[in-house]
Amino acid sequence: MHKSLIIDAGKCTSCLQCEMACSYEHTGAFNPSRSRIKIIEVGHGERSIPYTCTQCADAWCQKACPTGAITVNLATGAKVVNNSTCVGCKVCTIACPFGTINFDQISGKVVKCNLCDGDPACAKVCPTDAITYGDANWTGMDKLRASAIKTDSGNQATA
Amino acid sequence: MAWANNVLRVNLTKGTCISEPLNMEWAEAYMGERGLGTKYLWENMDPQADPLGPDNVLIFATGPLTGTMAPTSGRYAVLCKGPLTGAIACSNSGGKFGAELKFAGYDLVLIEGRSESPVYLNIVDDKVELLAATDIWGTTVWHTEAWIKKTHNDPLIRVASCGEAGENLCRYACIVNDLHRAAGRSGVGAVMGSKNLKAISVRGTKGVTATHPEKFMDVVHECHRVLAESEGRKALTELGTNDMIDMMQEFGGLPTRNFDDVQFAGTDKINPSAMFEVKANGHRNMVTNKACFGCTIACGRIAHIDENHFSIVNKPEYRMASGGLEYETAYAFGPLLGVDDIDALTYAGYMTNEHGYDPISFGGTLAAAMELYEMGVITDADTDGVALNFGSAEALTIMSEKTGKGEGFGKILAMGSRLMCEKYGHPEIAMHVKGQEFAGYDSRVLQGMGLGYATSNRGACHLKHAVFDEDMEDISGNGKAEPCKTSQDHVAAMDSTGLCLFVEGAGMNIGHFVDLLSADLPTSWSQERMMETGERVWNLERRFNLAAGLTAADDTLPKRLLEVPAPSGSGKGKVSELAQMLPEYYKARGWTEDGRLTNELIERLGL
Amino acid sequence: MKITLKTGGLFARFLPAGTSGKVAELEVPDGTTPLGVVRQIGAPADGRCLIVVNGKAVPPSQHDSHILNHGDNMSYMPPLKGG
Repeated sequence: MHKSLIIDAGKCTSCLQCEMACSYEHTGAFNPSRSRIKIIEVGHGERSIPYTCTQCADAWCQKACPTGAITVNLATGAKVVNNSTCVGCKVCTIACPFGTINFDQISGKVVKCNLCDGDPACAKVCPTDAITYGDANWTGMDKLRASAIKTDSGNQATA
Repeated sequence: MAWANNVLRVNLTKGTCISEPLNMEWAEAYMGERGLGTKYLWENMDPQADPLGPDNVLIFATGPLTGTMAPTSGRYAVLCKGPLTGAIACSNSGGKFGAELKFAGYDLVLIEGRSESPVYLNIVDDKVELLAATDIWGTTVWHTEAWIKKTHNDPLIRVASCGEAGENLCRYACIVNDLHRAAGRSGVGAVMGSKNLKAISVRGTKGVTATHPEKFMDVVHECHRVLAESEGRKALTELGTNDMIDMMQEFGGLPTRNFDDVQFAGTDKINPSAMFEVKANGHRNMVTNKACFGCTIACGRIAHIDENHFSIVNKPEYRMASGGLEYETAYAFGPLLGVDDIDALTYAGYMTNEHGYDPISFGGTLAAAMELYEMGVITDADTDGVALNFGSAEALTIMSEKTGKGEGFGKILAMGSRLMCEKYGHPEIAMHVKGQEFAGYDSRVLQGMGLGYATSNRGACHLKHAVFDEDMEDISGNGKAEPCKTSQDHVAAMDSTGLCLFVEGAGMNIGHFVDLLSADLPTSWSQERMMETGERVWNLERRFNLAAGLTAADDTLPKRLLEVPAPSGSGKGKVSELAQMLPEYYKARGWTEDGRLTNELIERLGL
Repeated sequence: MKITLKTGGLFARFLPAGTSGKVAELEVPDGTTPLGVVRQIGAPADGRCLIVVNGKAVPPSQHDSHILNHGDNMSYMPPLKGG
């Protein structure tokens, strides 16, 4: 069973702990400019939206890659970039409709979320649970549960 | 290690931008941000310089923890000689700008001279340039940030700028970054404006690395845990700093109508409960809370103004959500002016952010103007026909706009309370220390706070010491001197790290700071070393002020606090016992009886 | 005896079930202290807090010795801090 990052923008305060944790995990430095998850602020901060790769089942980036550098990690379901075959052509960055795979000038390769091999640093550090890591089949479970409780009509009279 | 080892020296007169290595001897002795900035200021300018002249030096300083994963690591400080006070100015700010400056590879940016024409400083890692600001001169903080991001086609740029208030040399203009965080006090924005420097824009891609990364992460996770569990943290997250208004009201230390009273009947209309209340038309003031860089507390408020409120009927651009009320803003626009209209307070808050001026000093100055108006010293002829009565929400909203834009009576209000009241022949009406207006704590009730105000190196300020425990225990001057001195040193050390003071009320303590610094930096830190660093910083600030011409006579409070008893609350009948506390304080500091540093002290601290 | 208890911060959650708002009338034992009341409602009694009785702050050192009287108005709030 795979897990997904489950994102609830309503809980995000834009503290960027996730961006620092991501960059630390992948580069060893605190460096949001190299984070694979980004917080998008709307207006003057009325919404803050964590955004990263959702690991498409049928991934545009993977199909577009001319060198076959993007493969599936069977343990996590993550689409991962193989640095030894990636040539940095950036075709995948054009193919991806979400902007969540990007070129990294320092390595000369593209980078994207790889779910930290099943233990995502961003989710671990998020102080408000705006980013959690849970069942990929039930990413809507929190909303489903909240909605069920909200619309429950209570114990019905029986004849 | 988490100093960037790099100082950017910008000379606006010559148009040069040169990097130089960080002086490591100074860094070890003064740590960073407030402390290191003070040292660089001391070594780079004449304290007698005109604060609004080209010889004033303007420093933007990050700390060794700025930009790390330590909670609240977004802070930077702005230092210069303050135009509001003539004393050293040191205002720090959160948001995201400070961390970005660190990521670009700078511990400090030191700005000298004055540009002939308006410029902004654009920093992209090692690429630094002064660019023409002709298109944004005369425009707001908000417009400036949007223009720079659009012009450079880069939404990730962080911007700190002065609004029109800074350009117009409003004595309490601030430097605003990330739309609604500010280096707020003492007029640092006017210094920026006087130099024809509109903004600093920065993109940093270098990152920050701790000296002992794994050890550092262990401490970070411990800090996260402590903050997550703390009651103080939960209250800050849910209610914000304005929670304080209920406590001060209950205690009876909430300055009201220019310190005529210490309790205000309208707090229930402007407190956190009021911010969360859903009105009949479905409007709620509070939208969401928002964090500064790296902060797991998120005390910041995003609010919006009721679209039916009189203030925005003809101002549709203020119908969006933006920075909302924090305690000091709520106090300075609420009780201090006698106004209980939460939308008017929020509106004036937007004004201070958009045009770039300090809400505390503005509130203090407007309160003095209202008193002068009610005394009949100034009339409608002075105030552009606006009735400046206490309690008038219209007076607040109109004057906030005039002050921001430098129009009409707003030009007078921009002088600050001291100069304004001197102009009208009533200096006793101005409630200030060294020219700077008070935060929301009355010195007759919080006696140790009063000593802190009187001795703060930047004029009246609530953030340079913390003796709340002692003040809750005993409403008198007894035993306040030593704790005040110790807490001043403590806060000076905290301020020099690059973290936010609020982490202490939210569960962290000095031990966490020691552990963070020791993992972050190449040399080991201890509580003793931190406290000595704080003492060194405090005394160097004092030395700057003495060299600037301030004396012990400036360590005082307005007569109203020394002679007119508090009319109600826990301290009813009390006046500030500063006369008793001050000599004890000088003694605790090891200063002479007239408040000067001894050679022995200078020697011991290595000043 | 009865006292009126007003709470600040997030402490309203400790008021008796069914209380709306931040104020409740409480039945307390004769001779109880402010901290006695805090313990009675199950709120944190270990940390510093601000206690005001009939408009005057009770010094923290007297939180567990100050004797409350019938009809007292007591406020129980978080400690004062900078903001």
